[in-house]
Amino acid sequence: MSTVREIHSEALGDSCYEVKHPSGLTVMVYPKEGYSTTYAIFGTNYGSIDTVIKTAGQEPRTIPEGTAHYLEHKLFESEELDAFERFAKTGASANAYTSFDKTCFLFSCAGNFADNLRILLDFVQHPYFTEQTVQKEQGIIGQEIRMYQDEPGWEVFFNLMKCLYVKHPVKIDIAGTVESISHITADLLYDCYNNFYSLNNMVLAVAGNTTVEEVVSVVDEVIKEKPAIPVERADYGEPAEVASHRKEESLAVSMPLFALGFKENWERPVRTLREKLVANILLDYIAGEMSPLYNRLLNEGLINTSFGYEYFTGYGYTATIFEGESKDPDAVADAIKQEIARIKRDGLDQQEFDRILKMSYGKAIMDYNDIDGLTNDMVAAHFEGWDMFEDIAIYQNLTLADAEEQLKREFDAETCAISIIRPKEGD
Amino acid sequence: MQEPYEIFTPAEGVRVVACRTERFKTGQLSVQLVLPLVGDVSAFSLLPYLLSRTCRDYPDDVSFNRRLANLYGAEVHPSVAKHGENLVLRLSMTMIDSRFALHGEDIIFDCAKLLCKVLFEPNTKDGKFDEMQLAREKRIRLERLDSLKNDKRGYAMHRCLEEMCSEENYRIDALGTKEGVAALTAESVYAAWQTMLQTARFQVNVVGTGSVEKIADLFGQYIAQVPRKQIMNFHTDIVERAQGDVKRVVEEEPVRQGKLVLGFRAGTRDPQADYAAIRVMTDLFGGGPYSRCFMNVREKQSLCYYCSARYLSQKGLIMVQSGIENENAERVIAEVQKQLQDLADGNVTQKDMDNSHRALVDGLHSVGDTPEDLDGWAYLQTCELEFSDPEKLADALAAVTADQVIAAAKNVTLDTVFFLRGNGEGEDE
Repeated sequence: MSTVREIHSEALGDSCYEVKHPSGLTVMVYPKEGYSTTYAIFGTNYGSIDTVIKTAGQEPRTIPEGTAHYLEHKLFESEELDAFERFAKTGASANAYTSFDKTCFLFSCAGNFADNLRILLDFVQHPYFTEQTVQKEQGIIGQEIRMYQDEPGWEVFFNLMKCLYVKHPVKIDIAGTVESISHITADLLYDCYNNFYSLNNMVLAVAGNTTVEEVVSVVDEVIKEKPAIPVERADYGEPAEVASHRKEESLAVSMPLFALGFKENWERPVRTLREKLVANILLDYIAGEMSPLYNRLLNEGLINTSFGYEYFTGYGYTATIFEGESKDPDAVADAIKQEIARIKRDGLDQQEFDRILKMSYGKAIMDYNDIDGLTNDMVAAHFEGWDMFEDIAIYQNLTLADAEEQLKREFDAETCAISIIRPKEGD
Repeated sequence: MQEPYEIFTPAEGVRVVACRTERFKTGQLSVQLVLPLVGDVSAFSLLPYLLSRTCRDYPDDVSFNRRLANLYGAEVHPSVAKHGENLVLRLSMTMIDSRFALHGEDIIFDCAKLLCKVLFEPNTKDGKFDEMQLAREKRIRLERLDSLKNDKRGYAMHRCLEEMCSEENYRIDALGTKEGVAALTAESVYAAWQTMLQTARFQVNVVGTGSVEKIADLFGQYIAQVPRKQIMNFHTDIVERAQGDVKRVVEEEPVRQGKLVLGFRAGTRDPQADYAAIRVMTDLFGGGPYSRCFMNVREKQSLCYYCSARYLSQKGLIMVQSGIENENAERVIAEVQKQLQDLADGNVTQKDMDNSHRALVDGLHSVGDTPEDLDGWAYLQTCELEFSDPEKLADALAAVTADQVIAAAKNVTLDTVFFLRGNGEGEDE
């Protein structure tokens, strides 16, 4: 029997449900009344940062960079009809993506939901790889890798990661390199699949025009119980220090691009939801559109509207990142560092903090609309160990003292690095 | 389960498109202003961006952004685009639905008031915009025009359209030109703002709860204050077929992957009337994973990661894009043409038709599930005199036959091939 837990929000008047299925799979369902479409993700807690397989009783084995992404591509194929052909018969729009710490297979549809869910659960559970089909993908993924290499925003980001991280695989391209993927074989894909695609390491999340009963009945029918495989993420022994403080490269760009990052060191490998929300409030405070810093840099011609920031975190890595275009990236970096030092010294202003809190509360509410976003949130919530709607409750209770406390831990000048892409000479 | 769109016409040349719904946590508001795409559009093009940051009541960025924070993080987004040979200036707002406000505020209406202030009561004095704010906006726009080249795929598409339509107004960049932007003054932009209010066609989109009538009235009252002149008419020149030899343009850049764009004329004099058949044909040509381009150029021949076709219905063009190795360019160009020829030769099966119908119709059903998509649907029809809803289009697409697809494919002609070629300098050291 499945056990069902309802997670309810008074503020929103919505509920979502967490189902513990006897197979070991966790199922999250967020019914949305009045919606025509349904969105589903079948995801595994395995991404590009998992470059070592740790199976109990065996030596850890290192796998080529880009294997998780390669496996994502190849799972769409089967001995008979590939998954795209099957979805074409039911009219769903299907896709998949691999991130640093997750691989997700998804579809959205307006009709035939149960059939589509059957296809999704079925194809992800039935790998079929041969040397020939694996070989065929080299050219396609090779072009995907080269496509991203032509995007300067991608390049400036990974150069920053290479500065901030000494050992952690977050510094490598999600799809690997043309060279690394040339070592991938069918046997290797089976090995990764058998280790990481265990039901206890996966989640099914569904939002939209459906019910818990409908989803669970399809899961009962299609999901076969398998012995649980304990999956352990590797500890890469990342030191507190950065690899380097600076990396510059020249590309065909019109104006320099920069990414400024502050690496953070915490005892636990994963940040709590509360820590993430507070970090974002601090970023809005320091460099948001209301901030004196943002407006000064914009008025002085040092940044344009491509400027942005994020709290970038996952298993074993956390950094705050500011990025954008500037004729003088070092002047921007200096201004950001000075402003952070000033705020750390003077403390936060209560009125400004309250405004940002109100804004964050509003934006959190706005996030509870789109079923694709909600489905992705449920996957993240499950893997990271928080509940849907928890963000709204956190905003309702957060104080200035909480934010000031966390500020002390963040933005360490010693673990800061900058990546810059400059225009090629003569451009 | 989408609520029907309601259409109001509070004044000549002003259309309000509303979707009253309580299904969402957010509301969505937007105003579209349409002007002809002719000559130098730099001043008009800059206006939504300049206007979106301040207004007379909140004359600097900090006070304006504080106002937005107090509206629970409401957002204002400026944009500009061409719909055929019409220039569409747009300001859109997203806000929490009023029922989530903590003190009973009517947030959507408050946002409508702010949007009206932004548009009709900007931060101007003595017939001029603020010099400093204009200088900043010009600088940002010049940097954006410069950085178009950073996005190689976008740049290749932009260049292909520019070459293909070099004799048509469609060649004009909706973002304006560097020379045009550099020459703008606080007075000339003020004059452009007045011309815009006096001659543009307006469309206001409203999605959410609360009184649509109140919002329509508010815009109506503001517009009544404007001395409206000759209101522009929508117009786009359609070129039915490519003339003469295929135009070939190659540019070299230090890119690692070549970016190929093939520009086709769709073979119609009335792209809207023939929309459904051409849309289904384009989908089978290079839309979903069941399309000819995906199955052959990518899956069978492993030549690329993406190879897709899009129908630019407002101008009657079909554009195919792919990222490839330099040395495969001729092979890919030939292969893409072969796939089109295959459709024109009549190799369209019932399975093809079913796949395309299901995918396109399924996609249209999702329009009603987000406020952004409901607004976006109305936005796409800004320059259509007759408003159509997603269900009507779904019916039209479902009625398309294989014969119509074959006939549509036969009419397509290749006009221009643009290739952004790697010059070898972009390779890894």
